[in-house]
Amino acid sequence: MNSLVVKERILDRNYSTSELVLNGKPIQGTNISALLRSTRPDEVDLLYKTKAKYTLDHVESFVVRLFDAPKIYFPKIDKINNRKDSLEKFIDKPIRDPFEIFLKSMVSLPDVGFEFLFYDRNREKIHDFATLHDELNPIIDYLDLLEKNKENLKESPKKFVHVNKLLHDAFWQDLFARQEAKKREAMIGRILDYERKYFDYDSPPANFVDSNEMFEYAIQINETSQAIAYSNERECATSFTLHSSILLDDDLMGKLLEYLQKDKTKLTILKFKELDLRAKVDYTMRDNFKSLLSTISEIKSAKKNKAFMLLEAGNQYAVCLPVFDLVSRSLTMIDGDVGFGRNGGRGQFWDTTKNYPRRAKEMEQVFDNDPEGFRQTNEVGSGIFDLKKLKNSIYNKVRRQYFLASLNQQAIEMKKHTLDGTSEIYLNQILRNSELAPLRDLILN
Amino acid sequence: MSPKIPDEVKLVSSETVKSWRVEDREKYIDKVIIDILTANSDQGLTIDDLLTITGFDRRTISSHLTKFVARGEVFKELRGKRLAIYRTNGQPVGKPEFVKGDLKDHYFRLYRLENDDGNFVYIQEREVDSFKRDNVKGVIKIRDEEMQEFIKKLHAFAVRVTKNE
Repeated sequence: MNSLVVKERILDRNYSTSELVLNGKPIQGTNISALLRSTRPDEVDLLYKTKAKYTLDHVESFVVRLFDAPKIYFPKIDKINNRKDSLEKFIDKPIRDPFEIFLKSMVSLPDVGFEFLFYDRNREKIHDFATLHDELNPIIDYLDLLEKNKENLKESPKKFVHVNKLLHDAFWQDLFARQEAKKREAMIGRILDYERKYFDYDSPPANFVDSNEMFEYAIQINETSQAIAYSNERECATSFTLHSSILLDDDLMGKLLEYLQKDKTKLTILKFKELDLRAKVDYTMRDNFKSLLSTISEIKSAKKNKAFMLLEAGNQYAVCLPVFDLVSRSLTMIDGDVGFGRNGGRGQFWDTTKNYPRRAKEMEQVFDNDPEGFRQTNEVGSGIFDLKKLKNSIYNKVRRQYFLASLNQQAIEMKKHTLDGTSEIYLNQILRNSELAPLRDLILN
Repeated sequence: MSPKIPDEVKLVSSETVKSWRVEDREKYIDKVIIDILTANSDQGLTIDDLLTITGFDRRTISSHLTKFVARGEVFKELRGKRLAIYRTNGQPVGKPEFVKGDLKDHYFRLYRLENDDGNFVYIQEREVDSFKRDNVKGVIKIRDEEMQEFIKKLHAFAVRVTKNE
């Protein structure tokens, strides 16, 4: 069984560090889960090579969105399985593929990414994913309908924003109508089939939540998925993808926190869309996010075998490091960053002091000002001879590796400080003088 | 004494289960019944008990129990003329061992089983579909005292039939 076990949890008041075993694979918290989504460069391959070259003790898990998986992930797993099957016919113990060994130690987690039924991006990929099986046809019908409406309203894009919301909600309302239950459950069942086949843990294909009604649907999808997973001797997380506006809705936040407290599953996965508490000065949102962190911290103190994961952590990642057990960020640093083409082919580079991505030119200057200091920031940095001289193709791989190594370094330090009882001081140190300074309001202790 | 419901059993309404795909529904009902029977193996349960706990339809419970009894996974014990008590075939001891066949879609699980009737080797043949859904296809249970004779006869039989081929 793909169970999650919390082997050890050390508390430092509201903060903690845990050692987990997930589907037989030991990982340490806070684990940095790389969201792998690109084929240029091939990020699955890049993570594999990065782990082979560098230690990255706290990078032992990765996330793949289901709609990206048929292109970047499934073929790799199928290749391993086919190779194994064909070799095992002739050889008792065939030599294992190095990529297979890598997968044996890395926890793979799916992200269903159904918020992109609401957002405009990635719809083509979801459409392609849905063509994998007839049971996913409701998604195709919905996307086709959306496309037709978009075409009809191309002269008035503002109107389409409203239509988009109406159609999205109607899609889920229809699926939750009594006569459509079979369609809905078949879709859930088929998605869980893919998760079971390719990933270490199941995650419910829950809808995007931006209202009470959508929250109720998401709860139902969570509970159905968990029951189906249970019958297959699998564990399934509780998962909510929430629009940031719910942080302004005290009633809905209350319901969410209450649900998390009562929920008996071992892993809870949360994702917030359009949330940047650093840039947006909104004290209600910050207060409610702090309440969420505080509730998770209380749950973890009371229930040893519970773990929490944050997807697409964005600028909230630092304040979440000592609260969540797994924190996921895109290797491109900004979730949704696709614009490196605008900077002469050189994407943004992580600044470990500012805790923020910066233009390539700026970081090349930072490097030139103090190359030794730069090299001491982390193990990937130590191998960079001259940032400016890296060819674009190498640079765009190195910037991803460097970002991962920077988060890994902070996770290592955070664990050390939690064990020493100084986690709050270290968190303050990360935030102070960095671009994340406004988030000091969110320190719990 | 009221029946025990183990924590890991995820009970959902029978209305919800009815709308699932056949493969999900069958597997779920199997798992719920077996897990609840295992947790109550000391006193056993009646169909009515299972109906009260799960909310599944009586005929559904009955057909799943008939399948389990036929496969030897569940014992049916009659008390009086009509009351049937069901209990699992014993408690597996330790972790099962696995025997992989030549075909990738099936394998065997070997269990050590102990119950009031003695000690057994309990073998399940399981098949795995392309989505790693794992189902019991058949079972055999051999009592310790009969093991030597069984192996001897099985071996002789295998030699004879393969020679003839």
